[in-house]
Amino acid sequence: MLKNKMSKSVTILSFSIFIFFVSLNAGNAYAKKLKVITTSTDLKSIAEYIGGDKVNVESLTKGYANPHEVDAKPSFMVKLRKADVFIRIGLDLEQWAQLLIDGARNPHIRFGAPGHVIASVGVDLQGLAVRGGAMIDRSLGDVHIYGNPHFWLDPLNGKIMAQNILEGLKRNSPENAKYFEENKRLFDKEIDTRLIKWMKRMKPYSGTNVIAYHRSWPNFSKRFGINVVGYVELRPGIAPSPAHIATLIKRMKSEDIRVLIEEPCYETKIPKFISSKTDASVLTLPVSVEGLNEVKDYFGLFDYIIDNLVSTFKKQGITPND
Amino acid sequence: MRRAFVYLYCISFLILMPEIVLASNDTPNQDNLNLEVQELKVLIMEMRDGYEARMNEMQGMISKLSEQKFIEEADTEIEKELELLLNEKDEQTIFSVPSIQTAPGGFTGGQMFQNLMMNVSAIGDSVANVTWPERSIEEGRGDGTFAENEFADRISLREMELGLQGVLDPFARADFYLTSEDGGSISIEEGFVTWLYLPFGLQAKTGIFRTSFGRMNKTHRPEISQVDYPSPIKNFLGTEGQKEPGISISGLIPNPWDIYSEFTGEILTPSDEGVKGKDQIYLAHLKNFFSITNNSSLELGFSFQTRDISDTSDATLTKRNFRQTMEGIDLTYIWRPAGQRLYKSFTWQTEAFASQREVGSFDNGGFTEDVKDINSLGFYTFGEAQLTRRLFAGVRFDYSQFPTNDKDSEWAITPYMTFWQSEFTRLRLEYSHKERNSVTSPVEEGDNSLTLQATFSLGSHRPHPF
Repeated sequence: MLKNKMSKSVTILSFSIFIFFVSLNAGNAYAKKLKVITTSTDLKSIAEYIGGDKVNVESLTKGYANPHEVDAKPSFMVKLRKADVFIRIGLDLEQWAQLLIDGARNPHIRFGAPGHVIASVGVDLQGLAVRGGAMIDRSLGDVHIYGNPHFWLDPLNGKIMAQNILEGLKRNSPENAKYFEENKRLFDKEIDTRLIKWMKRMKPYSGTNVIAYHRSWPNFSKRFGINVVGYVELRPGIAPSPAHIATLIKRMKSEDIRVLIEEPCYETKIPKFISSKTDASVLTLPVSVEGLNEVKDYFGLFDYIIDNLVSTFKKQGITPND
Repeated sequence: MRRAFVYLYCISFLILMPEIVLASNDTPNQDNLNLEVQELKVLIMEMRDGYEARMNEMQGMISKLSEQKFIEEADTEIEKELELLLNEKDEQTIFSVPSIQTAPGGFTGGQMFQNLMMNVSAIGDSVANVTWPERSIEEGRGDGTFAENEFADRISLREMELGLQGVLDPFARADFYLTSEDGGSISIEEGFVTWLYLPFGLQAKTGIFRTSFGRMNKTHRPEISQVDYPSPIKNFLGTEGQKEPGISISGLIPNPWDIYSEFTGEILTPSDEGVKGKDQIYLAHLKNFFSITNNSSLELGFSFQTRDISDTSDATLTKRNFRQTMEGIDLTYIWRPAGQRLYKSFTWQTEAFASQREVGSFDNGGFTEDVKDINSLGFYTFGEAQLTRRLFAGVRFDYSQFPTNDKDSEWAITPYMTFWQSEFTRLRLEYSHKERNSVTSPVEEGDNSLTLQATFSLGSHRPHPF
């Protein structure tokens, strides 16, 4: 009887030890992947493409959230504490990030460390507000002194961001450098191939005037040739005044501006009001991956934006150039 | 083709070889000849295998090269086509000059430039008060429930705060906040260095800082959600909260659920009791943060501190010290939908305080006698809802006894509205009704106060923790 009991105990103990080691191995296998934390879903999408199955990527923010307004939650610090690589947009977009980095107590990802990647290095920046030669102050609203941080809306900047991410991944996982480089090559090729299609689709509407809610589109409009001639927010970050809305409506009528672009994180009341007075179409366009359910990755972001822009231009009877 | 040729050659050789051998029938040693033939056969087979292997290798290389050439050609075609499109578009954009001037991104990478300098900020906090029953500033400072100078009939720049914050080196940062009240002399609100990366994930700071007791105490007065600190904070921690010189060490407690759980231990030298030497404040705080959903979170904190409150100016009183011990619990719920963060939010915050303060007297031998505890309690709770992008409304209820007097208590109700003109300018209108239930000095009627507050911020102020 005692022998039976002992034998049972030994079996259970052996099985437990086996399970423990199996789970330990599984943990190790998981740990071999680089743990990458990004500040945006766009960075996440690109990092996933370059990193492939060698990385495990998570974004701190949602694609539909306003990237300027993010809560520095302590739970983010826990994520960053375990991160191998932290990828951020840079410029002065993520003022909240420093608080998280300090709170995470992970020296490997602090500024200047191998795990800290700034995706904006070397990108083409637009919308640097210069008034009277050199003056930039808060009377312009929430301006970004280094340039408009929504630069990822130019696919060619996406390639530069991918290069910065590639360098970051290589620094932290040199044994996979060739794998990352090959993925980067494929990413560039995919961007180039799709960019040709996107530009061809947008070409007939080059020079079309539109209104936007926020200053999210300088890089996109430069690349694809549309003109954002006015904003619902007269000054970025400052709620529009009734007088400004009245002026905007007047202008849209007189200049026959028939499309108003709005980001998902802004209220729809004012755009709808403008639309009711001008018959312009209000087009909600995501500015980031996962900004809308349909937008799954960085390529899909442009697919969605361009598909919807073109169909809205057609719906509004905007005549193609050629 | 070449492979076929090799095969043909080998087969012909094998067929013809025996004939040649048989033709020379007059060879004396047939066995030796057969052996040589076998060896030759093996040699030929080996040669054939070698040839085939090399041929396969070469063919592989040729197809790889062809494939690469094809990819390169395809890439070049894409690049050429793209280049054409881009050039064409650049010509077009020359004629569509944007409404604001643009400049190329000379300072790309951002913040690197900014980080070479410290962040400098100034916060102004101006208030205009009307109180009734009517009281002047002097009366206001004298007694009554609005004894503090922040509530009296007046208009004033209640506080000016200058913040200097920056990174010292790869291991530490420093924060200084200098403050002046009512245009008076400048004092240090906070000034401390923080070592960010100590062993075992610890952080330490030393200097003068707001202590970690509770939640609201860590926030500077101009930045809290109402005009003034709640009564229990004023009564238990000081009229402007608790800030002391000391050392603070904190660490994250590892746990399998990845919950943010931070333990802080502090040793502080009290600046308000005249206590010297080894009589320090020992403080502990445990902060736990739970993400309930993507849009809502809960923070639960526990605080404890103990301090000596004896009058040590009398060197003979060394037999026994009087102590005050305080406990606190704080609970904060925040709902802020990520997609509509600009327009909708709700915050509910509650803190409760308990104090046990020993009082008594000393006999001629320096021993304590008639020792008893004053047990007092206090709490506040407030809820704040965001109505529009810029407008917030809230109400706070305070109840507090006094650490030195458990007979009296006070309560207050404070509704308010806050208008954020921008991220840097805030206007607030607040009404407060406060009553005191006093046994020692009965008060017949409650006090009322209406306050208009304007808070404004210049420069780069480091964001506050969530």
